[in-house]
Amino acid sequence: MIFRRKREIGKAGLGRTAFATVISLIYFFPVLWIILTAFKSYADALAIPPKFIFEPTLENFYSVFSRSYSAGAEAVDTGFDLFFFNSIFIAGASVLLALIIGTVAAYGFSRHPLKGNDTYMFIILTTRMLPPIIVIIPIFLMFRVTGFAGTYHGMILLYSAFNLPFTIWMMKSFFDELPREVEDAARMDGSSEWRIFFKICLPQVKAGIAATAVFGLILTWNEYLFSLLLGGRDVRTIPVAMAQTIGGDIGVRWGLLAAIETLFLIPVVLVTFLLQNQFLRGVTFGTIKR
Amino acid sequence: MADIELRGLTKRFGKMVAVNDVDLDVEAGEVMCLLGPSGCGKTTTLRMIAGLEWASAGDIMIGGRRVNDLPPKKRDIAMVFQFYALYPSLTVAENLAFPLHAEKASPEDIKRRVAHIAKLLELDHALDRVPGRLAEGEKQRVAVGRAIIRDPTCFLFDEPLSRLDIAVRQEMRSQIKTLLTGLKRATVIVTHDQIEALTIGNRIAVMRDGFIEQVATPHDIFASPANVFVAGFIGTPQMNLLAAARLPDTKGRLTLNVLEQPLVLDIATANRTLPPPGQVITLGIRPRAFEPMSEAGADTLGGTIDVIEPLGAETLVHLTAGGEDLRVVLARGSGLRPRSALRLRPIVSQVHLFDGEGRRIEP
Repeated sequence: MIFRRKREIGKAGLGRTAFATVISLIYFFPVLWIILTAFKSYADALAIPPKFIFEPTLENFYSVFSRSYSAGAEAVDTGFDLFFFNSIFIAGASVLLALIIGTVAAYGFSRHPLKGNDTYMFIILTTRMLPPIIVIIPIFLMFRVTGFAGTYHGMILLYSAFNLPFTIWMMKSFFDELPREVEDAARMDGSSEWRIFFKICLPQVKAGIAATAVFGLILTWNEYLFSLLLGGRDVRTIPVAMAQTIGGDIGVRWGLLAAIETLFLIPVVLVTFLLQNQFLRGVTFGTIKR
Repeated sequence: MADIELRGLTKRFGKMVAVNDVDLDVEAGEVMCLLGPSGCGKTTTLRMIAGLEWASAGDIMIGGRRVNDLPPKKRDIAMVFQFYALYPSLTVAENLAFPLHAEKASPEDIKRRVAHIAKLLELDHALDRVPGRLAEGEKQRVAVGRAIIRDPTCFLFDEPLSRLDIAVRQEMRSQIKTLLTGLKRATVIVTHDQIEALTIGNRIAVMRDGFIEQVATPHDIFASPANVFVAGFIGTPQMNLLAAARLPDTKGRLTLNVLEQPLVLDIATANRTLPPPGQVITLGIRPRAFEPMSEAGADTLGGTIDVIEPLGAETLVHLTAGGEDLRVVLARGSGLRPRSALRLRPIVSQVHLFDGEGRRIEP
């Protein structure tokens, strides 16, 4: 009997594709449920059995930014526009700062190693080995002395410092992979060290920068503890503000919470989506040798 | 005065001496090939000339100037790297123009010179492409173009052809040779490929373990190797290097015990500085320096055929004689059979003699 292959070697068949789809849907379900809940009225959100078909409403999204805190009272600004700005500004600025310092540092560590270079690299990483709850005590004291607590520059510096070890390690591995010959060639062609860095090396690690930025943004965006303890009132980020929204005079407002979460998802999804081509190349960097 | 002069050039990495007291002169218009096995110090020597490594001792002179303490860009040199080292994010045109920016050339001047080089190296069609989208041969030409666009005092090539496949390599070899002949600059090429060195170089410097073993023209290095290493390194198939004990002369002719057989060579011993009888010397005979003989004689060696490898125009025969392997290249279709006996006469004019230290014994 002649056995005929119906599909190309290496391509998944219908069964496997369906199986993978089901698994991914199970993983995606919580996110989907949050997005659905965000569009539900208070009653629909609490309905048992859960409703999949309902009349969508934007009511929750309005009350994210402005709502009345007790029945009958006038709607007031919740401050969430500020918290969103805080989250975006702090995450963006701190990741940018960490990238600028970290990329230059990583290049230095990779190309002009110090005596005991590996020890330095190790020490840089040790700052991330302790759980944040331990680190918070000395940082809290430092912030009190310097007056950084509850300020933008304080939070940005803190998160930059937090992102820096990871950025340096990640970027160093990207620089290590670059062929040195290219830099030697540029050196022979009369380039200064800065020109080599900017014109020759940086363009080659674009993908690495994108990958590092996405990881850093996600980490910073979701950070809760530091923001809670050091952010103060006005520099609160969304995760803290969100937690403070849970509860109220009529129990947990699930629809409202879901709406915040949905809005909270958008920037990260957007950034990851925009950078995804670079990002995928970045995380698989070095797996294929020249 | 030579355009490149190396005097006592030495490079140490910790305790390891990579380049040891190297002296070398390269004249303008001359192509010097640094040839040697990997790890012999040839690339380190090149990198010191380039200024990518500091010399531990000795002087590097380029165009009559001592350049030891100058950075690469001030040495007036251009280099072609082994893996081309093209700038991956720049187009071919930008790659070619890159060295000109450091010269602060005007945009019109840059445009004109890039166009000139592109035409010379047949790269016109590829100017807007990035290196990743080029064929190997094109990448090689861009690398060469980037080096010659600046018109420096000397050129350095690090294994320029090692990445190309054989057909492209032969073509590039003659292209580079033509190009270098036209440029009339002092050029140093590092290679481990002796064919490349013999075909491109005006002179060859054979290196081993950081030392230069011999500097000579391709012809001289083949015809009169300075020592056993050079003799064994240059030429394919490899020269037969046979341990031979000197016996008392036969009628004033050199007589040796080699491969457990007596052999009389038609070499007068009178005017030579040969070690006395009883001493061991090395007899070097290239595989092509044998004549097959039908009859035994005092001037012939006998052996048993092991393996026959047809090479096309010729046949490589491996013989066993006196427990040793002997390589012989004979004309095609000599009617040879494995395990049969074969008698050979070394062609005396092509026989090399080396003393106990492996140094050449001059006639």
